[in-house]
This record gives sequence, structure tokens and C-alpha cells, in this order.
Amino acid sequence: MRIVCLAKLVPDVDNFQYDHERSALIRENVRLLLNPADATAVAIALKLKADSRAGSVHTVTLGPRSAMPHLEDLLRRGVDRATLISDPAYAGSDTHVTSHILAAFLSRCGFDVIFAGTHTLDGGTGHVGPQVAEILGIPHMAGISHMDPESLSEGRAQVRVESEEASYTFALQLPAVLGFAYAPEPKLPFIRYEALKRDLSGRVEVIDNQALGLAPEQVGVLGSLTRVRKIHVKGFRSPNTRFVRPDDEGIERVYRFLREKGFVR
Amino acid sequence: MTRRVLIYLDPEGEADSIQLLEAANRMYGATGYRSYGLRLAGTCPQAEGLLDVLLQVEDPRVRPYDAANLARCVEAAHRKHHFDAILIPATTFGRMIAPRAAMRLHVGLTADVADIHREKGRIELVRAAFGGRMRAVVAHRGRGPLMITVRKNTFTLDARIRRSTDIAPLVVDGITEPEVTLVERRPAEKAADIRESEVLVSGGGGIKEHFDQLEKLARALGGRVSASRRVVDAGLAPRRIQVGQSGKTVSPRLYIAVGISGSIQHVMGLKEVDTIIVANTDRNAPLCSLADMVVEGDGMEFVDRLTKRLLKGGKG
Amino acid sequence: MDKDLLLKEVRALLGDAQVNTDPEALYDASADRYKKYAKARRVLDVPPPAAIVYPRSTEEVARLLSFCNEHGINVIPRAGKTSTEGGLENWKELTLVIDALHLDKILKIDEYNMQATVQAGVPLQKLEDALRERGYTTGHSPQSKPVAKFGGLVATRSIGQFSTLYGGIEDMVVGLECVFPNGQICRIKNVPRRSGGPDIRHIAIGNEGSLCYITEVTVKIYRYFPENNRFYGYLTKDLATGIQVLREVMVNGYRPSVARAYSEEDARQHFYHFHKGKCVLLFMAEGNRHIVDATCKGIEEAVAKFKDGILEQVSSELIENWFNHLNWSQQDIDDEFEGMKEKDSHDGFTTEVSADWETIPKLYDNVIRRIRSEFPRAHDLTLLGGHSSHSYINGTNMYFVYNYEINCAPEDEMRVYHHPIQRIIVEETLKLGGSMCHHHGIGKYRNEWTQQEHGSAYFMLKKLKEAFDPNGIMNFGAIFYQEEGAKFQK
Repeated sequence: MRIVCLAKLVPDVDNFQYDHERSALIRENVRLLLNPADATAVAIALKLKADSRAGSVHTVTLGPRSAMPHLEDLLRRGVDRATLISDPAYAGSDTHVTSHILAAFLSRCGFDVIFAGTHTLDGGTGHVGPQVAEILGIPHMAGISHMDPESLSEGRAQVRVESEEASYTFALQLPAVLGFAYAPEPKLPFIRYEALKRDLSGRVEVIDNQALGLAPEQVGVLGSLTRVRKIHVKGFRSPNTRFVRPDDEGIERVYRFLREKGFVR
Repeated sequence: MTRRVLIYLDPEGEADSIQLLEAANRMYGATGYRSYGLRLAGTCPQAEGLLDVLLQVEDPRVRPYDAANLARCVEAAHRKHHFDAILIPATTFGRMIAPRAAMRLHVGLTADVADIHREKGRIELVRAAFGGRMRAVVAHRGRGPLMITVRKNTFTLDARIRRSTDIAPLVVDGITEPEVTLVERRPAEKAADIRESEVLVSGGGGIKEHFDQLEKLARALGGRVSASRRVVDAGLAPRRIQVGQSGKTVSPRLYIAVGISGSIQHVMGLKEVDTIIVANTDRNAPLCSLADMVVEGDGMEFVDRLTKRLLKGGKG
Repeated sequence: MDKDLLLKEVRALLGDAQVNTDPEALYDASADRYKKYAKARRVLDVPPPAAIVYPRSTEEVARLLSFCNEHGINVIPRAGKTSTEGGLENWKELTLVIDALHLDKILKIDEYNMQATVQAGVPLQKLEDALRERGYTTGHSPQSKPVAKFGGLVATRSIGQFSTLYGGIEDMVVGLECVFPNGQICRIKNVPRRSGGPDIRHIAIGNEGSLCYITEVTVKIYRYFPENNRFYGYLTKDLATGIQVLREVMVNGYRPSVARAYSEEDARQHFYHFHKGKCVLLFMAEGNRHIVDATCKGIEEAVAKFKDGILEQVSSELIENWFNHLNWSQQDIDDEFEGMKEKDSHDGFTTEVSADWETIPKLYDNVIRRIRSEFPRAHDLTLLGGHSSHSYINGTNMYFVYNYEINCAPEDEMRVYHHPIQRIIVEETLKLGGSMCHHHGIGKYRNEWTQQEHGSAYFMLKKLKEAFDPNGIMNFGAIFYQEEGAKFQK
């Protein structure tokens, strides 16, 4: 069983630097972290490997070169191989393009199942998992809270998905893309002190567009079908904070606000 | 020119699906479009009389959780009717269907739209990103329908215009045997864990003697009660409902903080909270700086009056 | 002597009730806040002490010390347990922790002569509360005030948040009583000043339990005028501007009680509600009305002089609100400990150094640059910055703070994260002639640099140890480097 995990490095939401004058995110030197739901997916994959239910765990990341230390850490935690797909031409790619780039790599790298986090902390669209599945022509499920490890050996995956309405158990034919919801457990294994000095060469590869051969007009800003036109930062000390008092008028304003926001029907 | 809008009517979120008519109203005006609903046969009867056309999938192989086949249905509907916009509720399954359908149609997709407005004739789509800390205005490029998913509770359809509804079967080629099968479905239990609650009413040191009275406000909003450390330390609430560095990290859509000043340790427990309302006697309390709305005054008076107002309901 | 015999002897000396061998208490006593994460995860690698003992009098302390001195038993003096630099960590198999629990009496508050005498186990808060009732203050307010006790405060040369006005503990201590390993009890009398040879108070103040056990302290007290407190806050374009304003205020002879300049990242963790991603500068003026008025004027003039670097003034109410929520309670400490059982991150590690005015900005830049470029786990840092919080006429301190995610095994946290960062800070500080230890004490993890810190004057320090603790029983590893302890430091 070869598990490929899609692992994204996202900007650390808690440690953003804002340019308050321009209401823009300062992207230089922004700290990256492994997207928490993706970390859950990798942790589940590593647990399967530790229990001898999976042979290898391979992470695939589309992102900047600065993701490297994080990918090396994944290897130190027990991932067998890490691929970083990185090319300046990919900057500004939307989820549509991102899915095509990942699928181009996945279609030739070999896998029995693809794990991913359902949501990312940054964009949080949840598009990439289902779109990769669509391009590869395989089933997909998102929001998985639990997977029956036994089922994998039978060429299928039995998974549980919790929504607000119900708790579902599904069976998917493999290969499939399994999107996991973030969960506090299992955690990624610790990096051992000894592993910090281990030679990782040969286990992490960087791939650019020359290797994938996508047409320039299909990637980056050019290939994207959506574009973020403006970003409004809801920063600290929001100038929009409204002050009311707990009198009739104030309560009415709170009530209307809750209605506008859809918390009251 | 009359626009055409397709709304996917998710059997697992029928009420939320119908609300998308309001999203369409925002795009084209209440009378500026013809509404099409896509539904599975035997589901979403309340759409009848509210939408102009219901395209009905009658192939029994198409199941509500089978995103691959449903994406084919959306594609087939569009190929036939050439929609200006395709709206899909951001339900558990809507979120899986929309990206696949967008890929099939080779169109852009904006997820979890939180607001729509028109500016100089152009439709502006607003969505939250970075855990609600930013709002992004997204533009679509290229031909093809404007395709979006819409967050639950984003739009409220107030004026329900009665329409005569044509029901037409939708024939879809290429439907396959489902690769996903449902083994079991159980109704969800109300979240026992504050981390899973969409609405939290949280009490702090400022109202700790009255902490037990927050429950009624939480109930009126369909949420749960949580507490700051000071309340837990005082033995008035169990540790499992404590928010903050030494408690739980929560991400509700609505966080109402009553009598909480907002130490950094408390704020560290708030992640991706969409809307914050703070009731505090001190408008300089740090937490007020994060609030969308600050109720300056007695916290319990706020709780009592807002609860009454919620129970009264209506537009006021 | 083995552990059983030791316990038997100690019980005979004090009685059972004053000897604690509860395994949980001993686990807790084997390390201090320096290894709090490993402690919370129950992976401490240091041995527990044989017992914690609670003497009831100076004489009992003397008897315990002579016993230990005779039998070569390591002694760790302990009071409020808020030590942060390993001062309370145990490195020996046979160790007695002597806890000042029962030395808990306020002996005298002398309003006319403006001094108060307490036993070593009196919490600072307890004396402060007693003084406040009468309109006085100790002037001493470290963040640990609600928990820390006098014995520890004096033994570590502690400093408080109002030090810029009141000074450090060394400026407050009038006289004290301490016990040396041979059982000798020494009382240093309480006089306003004298020229009676070297000031021997300083053999006890800051000894970190490595020379003697402090049993009693007399400190100055001050009139308290909370109604006069005034607060100022500013956003500055960089840390250097903040430090320039601090210097201006100090060299003009003003003594605000709080005078602080924060870097951007450090400001974020304290002032999330107003810092706007900028550096923060703040002041508090206190004391009698005329002095407060003059101090405020001095602050305003200094700010005006450097107005190009000042971005905006912050509402003083926000600063006051911050000030009112400053201190840690025991509950905070317990909570942090609870949090560490679950969360893989360490917030609020610090290394505090000092240097003269012209050196501090350079030192800050060098340290930050080196950590960012040399520290192999820089990508795990969630915060790296610092603040100046204690100013003097000739210079100031720099409190480097760093938070990080812990991605290694809990037992490796120190050697993977803290030590490499601390090493850079200490090296850069010593290189530029600053002090590596502004107010936490050297503890046990900076002892490899003690000799470098003191240079040729280390001779004097070493002689003190040889003279007062010839058998080396006092707090093994504190201040003085020990080859045998090196295994715990790596």
C-alpha cells in the first residue's frame, strides 16, 4: 500500500504581519506551518505504516522553496519520501490550476490511495481534493473523521464523515482521495534528537515545471480562472466595531445584526 | 436580458439550498433571472412554487453523496440550459460536488461566499479567508457560468415570491455505478464539546456569580455555554468548557463574550471566529478590540434582554 | 551515607512532620520552571532529592546545614519556587531541599524608620498587602510577586517592574540574617549606611543558595500614592527609538517607575489590542504628586524630542488596563503547566541581559540576526523579540523572548530549542561587554559562562565559594560550573 499525502504549507494565521496602512498581508518572512488538517492526514498515514498496514508514505507539496525545512522534518518524523513541486511560474495559481499541477505529478508518481486535509487554514476552499479526484477520475470523500484501517487491505476504504446533520459511514473504492478533517489525535510523531542530524539527501526531491511540462498559459495567474481582486483585513482594533448599550435600542441593534449574519431566522 | 441561475438542491440541506434564491436576488435582482433547481427525484418538495424550473434527476444510481455523478448532472444541466450562474450550498456534499462540476465545466469556483454585491454592474463575490481574518473579493475569468458555493446562514430569503414551477426530468449521459456507497447514516447528536459548537456564549469574571444564567441565551441561539478561566477557577464551571490557552481552542461562527476582559491567554483559545460580540462594562477591555459589536454596560442585563428579544422573534 | 540513613538522621533532627518524602513532591522538587515542559510531560532526566525539609527556626537551619556539611549532603535552599534558571534543579543523588515554608512571619513593620523585617518564607505579596493597608509599599514587584518569597528574591538578586524608580532588591535590603554551611549564623544589622569595610550584605544577596541560607531580611518601605499613577503609551517605528527615549528620560534625571520599550513581535504578545504591528514604548510615573508631575513632563519632553520615531500615542487607559493585569498568580503557573501537558509549544522563554546604552541596540540586532540565520529550528519560532524593562543612568536591560513550536520529543526540548538560542544570546552579550544575567540569576545552565562573565574578578567569586562552602554542599551547580553536572546541560 503506497500512500501519497498532499501536504500544504500555509502562512501562520496567528503570526501574520499586516501592513495596516495598505490593509495587506506582509508575505515576506511570513512563517509557514504544515496545514493542521494535512498534518492529521500524514499522522494517520504514518500510523498505518507503523502498524504495517501501509508500505510507504510519500508527501507531495506545491509551494515555495521555503517549505523545505518543513518537508525535511516530515522525513525525520517517518515519511519515506517528500516531493516539493516549486516553480516561480506557479505563483498565483488558483485552486483549479493547483489541482492540475498536482494531478500531473500524481498521475505519474504511483499511489494506491491519496490522503489530504479537507481544509486549509489559508484559502480554505476545500477544492483541491475533489478536483484532483475529478482529473484522476477516482472517488473522493471530504471531512473524514475516522477510517477503518482493516478496510484498506480489502481494496476499499470505510470512512466516517460527521456533518451537522448526520454521521455517515461510507465505503469508497480505491484508489481514492480521502480528505481528513483536522483532529487533535493522532499527532505527528516527535522528531527524535538523533534524527536531526540524519542525512536526508535522496529522499526529498524538488520538481519544477520543466519536469511536469504544463503549458505556461495553463499555470500561475495566466491559467487561473479566479483571481483575488482585493483583500480586506479584519485586523485587530477593527475600525468597524460598533458600540451599543444594553438598552432597547442597543438590544435591537444586536438582534438585527444577528439576523443579518444569519444567526437568527 | 433574463439571466438563468441554477441552484443545486441538496437533500441533506434543503432549507439552506432554498435560501440561495436570495443570493441570486443579490446578483441579478429578484425579477432579473429565471431560477432553475437541480434535485433528485423525490427530494426537496418545498422548492415547488418557489423556483421557475425544477430539473429532476431520476436515475436511481445518482445518490445525494455521490459527488462524481452529481457533478455530471450539473454539467449536463448547464450544457442544456447555459446558465449565467450556478449556486451550490456549501453543505458537506455541496462542497464536494461543486469543485468536481467546476472542473468538468472548466470554470472558476468561489467557495463559501459570504457576501455578494454589485458594483458598477459587476458582481462582487466576497469570501472569508485566513480563518475569517481577511475578506477577499474574488473575480472570475473566462467564459462560463459564475459558479459559487454559499455558506450556510449567509443569506436569508425574506420575500418568497410564488412562482409556477415547471418540473422537467434531466437526462444525464455517462452516469456510472457509484464508487461511493453509504453504509450507515445516523442523525448527528448535538455537539457535547464546545469545540464543535457554532455558537458559544462565554462568561467571564465580570458576571461569574450569574454564570448559570447564560444557558438560556445560548439555548435561544442554538449554541452552548463556555467559560473563561476565572469562572472555572471559581468553581462555577467545569474545566472542559474553558476557552483559552489552558482550556480549549474554539472556532465558533459566533462568540458572545459576557464579562470577559480578554487576556492574551483567553484570546489564544479563539481561532477562526467569524463574529464576536462583547458585553463588558469597560469599553477599553482588550477583547473589545476584536469585537464586531461591543455592548457597553451590564452583562446580565444584556443577556436577559437579548434572550427575551430572541424569544419574541420577528423583525422588530 | 545512603538515602535511608540520611532520612533517618534528618527525621531525628526535625521530627517526621517537617520531612516530606512524598514522591510527587519530590518529582516536583527535582526541577524548577526552567524545565517546566519536560516536567509537565514527566520526562525529567534529573534525580529527585531525598527529601524536602521544613525548618521552623534559624537554629534548625543551622543544625541542618552543619549536618549536611559534615556528611557531604547537597543542599538546595528553596522559598517561593518561581526560579526560572535551574537554580532549584537537583543534580545530586543525595540532596536535601530546605524549604522556608515555616519561616513565614512578618516580624516587624517599622513605619517611623521606614523598614520592615520578615522571615525568608514570607511571600512578597503578604508583606505588600500588609504595607498597603497602612499606605506603604515595598516598591518591589516582579511578575512572580503573588508567589515569590523573600528568601528567594534576595538570593537571586531579583528585580521588579518598578525598578527604574525603586531599584532592584539589592537597593532595598537593609540588613539580613543568614546561615553558613558550618552552622554559623550571621546577622547583618540594619543601618542607613556605613563604611565598615566591604558591604558584606552582597555576599548573601545574589548567592543563589551557593554560599549560605538566608533566613531573615529587612527591607526599606516607601509611601504609596496609587492615586497619582499616570500612564503613557506610544507606538514607535523601531525598538531603537524606544530605547533612545528611555535614555533621554533617564539621563535627564527622571525616575519613572515603569519604563519599557518592546520590539514588534514582543509587543504583539502583550498588547495585541493596540500594537498594530509596531514597537511599543510605555511609561508609568508614580510617587508623590510633585514628583509625578515633573516625571510626566520629562517623559513628554523626551517623546517630543524623538517625535520622528513616534508613530502615535496610545490611550493611557489601555496602558493602565495592561498594568492592572500584569502579575502571575499561582493559578497562572498551574494553568501553564496544565497547558503544557497537551500542547506542543513553549511560550515565554526568556534570557535577560544588560549593557550600556550604546551597546544594547547593537546587541539586540546581532542576536536576532544570528538566531534567524544560525538556529537550525528557526522555522519553529512563533515569536522572537525582546523588550527593555529596567533602565539605569548608564544603560538598560534586554529581555529576549522567544516562543516556539516543539516538534521534538519533550525530553529533547532544551537541547533542540532553548540552549542553542540561549547560547547565541549569551555569546553576543559577552562579546560586547554586557552582562549575560540581568535579574534571573545565573542558575545552573549559564554556569559555563560564569568565569567569562566575571573575567579577572572571577577570582573573588571563587574565593567566596572556597571560604564559605569548602565542602561544596551548597546548591551544586548553581553559579559555579561543575564537570559532573555537565551531562544535564547538554
